[in-house]
Amino acid sequence: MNAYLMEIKALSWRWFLHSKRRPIVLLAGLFQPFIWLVLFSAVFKNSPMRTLVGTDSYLAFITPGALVFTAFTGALNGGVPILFDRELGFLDRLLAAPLKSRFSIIWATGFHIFVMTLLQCVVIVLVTSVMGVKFNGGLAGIGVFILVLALITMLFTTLSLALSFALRYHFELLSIIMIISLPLMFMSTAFAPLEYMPGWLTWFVSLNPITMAVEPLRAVFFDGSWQGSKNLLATPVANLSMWGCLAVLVVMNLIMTALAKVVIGKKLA
Amino acid sequence: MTLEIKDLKKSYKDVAALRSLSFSLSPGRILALLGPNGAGKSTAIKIMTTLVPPDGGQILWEGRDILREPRKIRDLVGYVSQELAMDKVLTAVEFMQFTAGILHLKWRDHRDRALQLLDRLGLKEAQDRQIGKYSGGMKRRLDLATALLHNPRILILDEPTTGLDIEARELIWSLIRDFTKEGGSVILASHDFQEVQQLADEVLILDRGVVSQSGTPQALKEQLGQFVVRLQTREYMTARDQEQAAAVFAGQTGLRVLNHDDTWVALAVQGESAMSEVQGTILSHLEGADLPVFSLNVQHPNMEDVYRFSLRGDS
Repeated sequence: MNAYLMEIKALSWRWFLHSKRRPIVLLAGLFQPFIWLVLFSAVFKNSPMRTLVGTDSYLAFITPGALVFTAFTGALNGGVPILFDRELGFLDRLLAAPLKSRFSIIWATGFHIFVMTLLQCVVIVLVTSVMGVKFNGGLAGIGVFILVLALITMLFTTLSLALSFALRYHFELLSIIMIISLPLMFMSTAFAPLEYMPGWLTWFVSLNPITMAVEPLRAVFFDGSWQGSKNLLATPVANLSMWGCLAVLVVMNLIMTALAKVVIGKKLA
Repeated sequence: MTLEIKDLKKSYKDVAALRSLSFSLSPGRILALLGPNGAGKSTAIKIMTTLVPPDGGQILWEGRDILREPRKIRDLVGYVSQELAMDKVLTAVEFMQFTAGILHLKWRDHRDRALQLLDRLGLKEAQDRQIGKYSGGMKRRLDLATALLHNPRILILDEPTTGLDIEARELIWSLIRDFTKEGGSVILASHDFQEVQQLADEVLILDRGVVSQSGTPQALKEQLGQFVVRLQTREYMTARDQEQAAAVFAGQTGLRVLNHDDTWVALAVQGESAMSEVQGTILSHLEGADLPVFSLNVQHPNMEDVYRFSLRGDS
């Protein structure tokens, strides 16, 4: 195994050991989406919006939102352990080691978060399928499912890791996470379709990466004949297809990676 | 290979943390870095472990400036930091395995060495216990074990025995000595004068970012004098009492006032006199000046004296 892979393996193995020894973190990450699924689907059970979303179950409607929420919160919290490592001096230990690239620390963290997120999402899919929410997207749909989760996880992991290097203390990062997580979720189509929102809000919703992740997931969940070029979202600017949503996510990732590289690079140089 | 540090400098904004640091260190030697907080020790260590880039200077190894090849430095150096920065979730063996991974060492080839080091440092029975359950002393020993795993050529130890009991300290000292017997070089930052006395071949005292004294412990002590005398003319000496007592010895042949701004007056005695002779001379001087004696202590200088009087700039 080459040195680069060796160090990424060691660094991510450490995080997997953490997850194994502290399963409560994994379970807590599952608990919140399930609460949302159960409570929101109960509250909106009889709402007329279900007639608009291609499914007669609000639980089904918000399942893709819950999946994105799981990936998003897991990723957004990804920087917290790195910030603890910084605060406790552990990061210095890593920086004093002859790593091939100090960015291995970032790759290993991102890889761990992605695997954990995927695990959590698989559990959610299995449980919701028992509750009657069926995945109709086929094998290609599973590919889209994994791609969407990868893109949304990468985007917010990168943001969180950049913040963990830009900020000094973990409570600062936790405050930012608290401030941005709920508005981002509610200013998206995770819980309600775009058509139900006032005009001013549709602008924010259409710019929100959560929306860009939820819409393709919703399409592969419920549309057995989904097509990448089919229009999914009528934003104030343009209609977006699945490929359009994924392209926006890719561009957002590229911009975020470039910004994070500057911030993290300053500390890891 | 000799490690040569040449004129390292570092400033943080307008504050010069390290004005100039130069020394060379041969294989098998231990160099102790002494200095008060803010003297530049931590900055020097951070530069030598590539955690902070210097503003100027060189680190030469085999004639090459390895500051330009930071990974080379990281390969050469085993580092034990002052903070007990361990992963509390992992066991000691897992932590060694993790360390092997980030050092690009195959675990199957280095597992035996890792277990030997743990055994040598008295951690065998606790090796499968999570580090979070370790005492401070056990963590320090584990830290040293991880620093030695890749057979470094240079060990940089930042207060490696702080908070340890005497048995654990001696265990670590013996491991450090063995490391030097195998040709390794050690840079030891410490506030423990006994540790410096026990281990150091050379001492370098930093003060406000520059080297204020350097040499072998013996040479530095001899430079200070044959004896150091501490005297009090009363239990709580006022500034006036101290000045009066110091004035008695000012200009006396073979006697040098080291300081008179503490709870006592300190003198350095040069020459070949016996201790009783020195005591007699001091007492007769005080008697001649009609000053009482509350306490009088005469001893050969130790590292603490060297350090204390070096920082005052009086020696």
